[in-house]
Amino acid sequence: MKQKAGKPSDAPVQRETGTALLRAAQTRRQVREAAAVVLRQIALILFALLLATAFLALSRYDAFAILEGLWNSLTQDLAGTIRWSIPLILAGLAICVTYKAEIYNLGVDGQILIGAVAATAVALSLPEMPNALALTIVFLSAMLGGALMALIPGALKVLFNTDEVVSTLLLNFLAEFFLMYLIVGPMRDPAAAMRYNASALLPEYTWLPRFQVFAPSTANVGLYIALAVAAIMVFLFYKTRLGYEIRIVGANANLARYGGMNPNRLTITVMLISGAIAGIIGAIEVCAVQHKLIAGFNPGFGFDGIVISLLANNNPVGVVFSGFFLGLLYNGGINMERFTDVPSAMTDIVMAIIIITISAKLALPLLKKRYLGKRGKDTQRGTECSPQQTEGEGE
Amino acid sequence: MQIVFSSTVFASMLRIATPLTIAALGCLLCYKTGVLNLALEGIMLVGAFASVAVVIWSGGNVWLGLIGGTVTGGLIALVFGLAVVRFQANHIISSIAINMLGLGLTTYLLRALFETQGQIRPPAIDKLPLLNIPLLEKIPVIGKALNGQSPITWLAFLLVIACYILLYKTEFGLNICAVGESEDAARTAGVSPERIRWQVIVLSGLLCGLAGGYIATITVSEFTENMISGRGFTAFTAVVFGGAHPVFVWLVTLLLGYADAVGIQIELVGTGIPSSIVKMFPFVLALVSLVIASGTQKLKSSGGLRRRSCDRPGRRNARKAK
Repeated sequence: MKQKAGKPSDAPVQRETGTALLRAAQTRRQVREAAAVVLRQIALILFALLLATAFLALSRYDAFAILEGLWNSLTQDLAGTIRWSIPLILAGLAICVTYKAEIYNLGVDGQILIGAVAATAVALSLPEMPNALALTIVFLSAMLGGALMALIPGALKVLFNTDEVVSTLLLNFLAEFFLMYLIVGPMRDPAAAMRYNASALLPEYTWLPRFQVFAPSTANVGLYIALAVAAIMVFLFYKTRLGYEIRIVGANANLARYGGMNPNRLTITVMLISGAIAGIIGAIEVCAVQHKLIAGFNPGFGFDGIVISLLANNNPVGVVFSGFFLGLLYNGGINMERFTDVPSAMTDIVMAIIIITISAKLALPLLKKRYLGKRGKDTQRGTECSPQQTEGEGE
Repeated sequence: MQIVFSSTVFASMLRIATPLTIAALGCLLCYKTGVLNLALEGIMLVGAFASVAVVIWSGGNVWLGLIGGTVTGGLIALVFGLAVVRFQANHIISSIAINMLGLGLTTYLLRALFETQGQIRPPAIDKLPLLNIPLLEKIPVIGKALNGQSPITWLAFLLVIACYILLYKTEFGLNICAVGESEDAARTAGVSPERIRWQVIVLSGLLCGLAGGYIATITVSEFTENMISGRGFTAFTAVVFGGAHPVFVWLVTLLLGYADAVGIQIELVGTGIPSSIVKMFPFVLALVSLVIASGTQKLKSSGGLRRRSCDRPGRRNARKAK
């Protein structure tokens, strides 16, 4: 586009204004596209909530329970929302880095568990040292643990062309049983009560500080870690060669291959990054929330990460927002169950509806018709970018 | 040795493999048409819940329960079909959504309908009559294992045969393979890929519902939250490892069932191996088989192995059809 505009003009000044104009048009288009995506996702969320409300009414519960729960967790129980948002944002980031490259890491849950195991094992064996140093060591080992766990399906895919979808799913169960084995066997706290299977309490110098403002809640400074990871992801995606390769491979694998990119290396790198982020979730849950290793501390963040990443259109900035929204939903569900007797499993249903509608692009035809129809009547100019836009935003 | 090769192990292998076989057959049909059905986990869970619910409402009738589970499985599959066929959504992501929906829906309905949490046990439940076939008892080791199985185990065996015939001896099966191999060619020949996929997805939903119902009403006679716990995914690996051929897939499910049965036996005997390690067996086996299957596939496609004509029955049929 730029070359075309530049060629015929001979005066450099003119060319510059031309490109500037084009660039401005481009940004405007991007903004418009982003706005369209955001609007669409909000419409989808509303649609899912509406369905859920109808569902609640059908099963003779308080129809507005879920909306009330959402509102309360935003206005009254922000601490709980933050507590859940931290792992969810990170899970969304772990997923979005792989999905961008068209790799399906469904094993984030297993990687979280292994990260938590590594964090606990290291934290329990560290001698007394300053908090910051201890946390650095613990988090690095958790990242290593998660990354190694993610390396298995990545390596299997590269070496044997094993479908990572199924292998990661299976590895989740292996990780779960491994965790069970550890906390019933070698890592079990000998001082614990008979039926209570958990590791020993971590020494206090390995605890990740919680926010003092929200005193009784477990909301913790992991929030800053999550935001930092999101910022790193933004940098990685849009400012580095690796990010460029990830985006190209995701957009068009053949083009990437012709361009001389190495898909195998990319698979391994992406899986390692994803696993390392998952490991951070494990470390935060252990060091800040539980302070020990127990079974079932992970309610399935990995799969929720898929919802988050999809809602955000695999965009790391968007993940922060959609992760926060899912934190609201999580917390709202828990509060709802506590106060109104409506099962918190409702949130799972809402998430499932959101995924189906997004992936099925249910709302898209409606919007497209509206958007295109209006534009077509108003002006003829707008048509050149509309079809691309609707095609591009889907996946 | 006694642990690994006794008739009790074989008997429990058959019992454990039954739902795997049934679900895997459903998944296989989808696989043949190019639909990646990982939703069987969620569909099985819903089937399990529905069958227990029907058993409770009908005062303990297992047959009605199984039918209820089957039908509900088919209904949930409609949602999957809607996403995958009608709206051409990503198969993997839709599958995950269905699994999430299954988990959420069953947990929710458990509270909403029965006002209980975690699990529910029907107050009364008829046991299905166990089939004893005198002739089979003469066979050493296996004979004892084959006797006293539930009719559903035999049904699973019949379904394997039916699936084989359906795939390789009927026009419908030919269409299924055609859609999977080349959608455009099938369309040109006047076969609607969408229609075939719809039919296959609903079929697989029915089968998965039955499998879930079997686990809930016959294996454990109760419903527990998330009780399928990975059986759907192992069934999927069976399809991949079995090369999507009904008989091979059936053998693989038997193998997976065997791993599970040996694990249970080891736990019962008490050899000191922790139970969590033992529970890993079927998953490790599934993973290894997946790697082997994909490894040989890779070799095959790169010309390292001579292409084995797995699809020969289909081709023969094609010639006959002409």
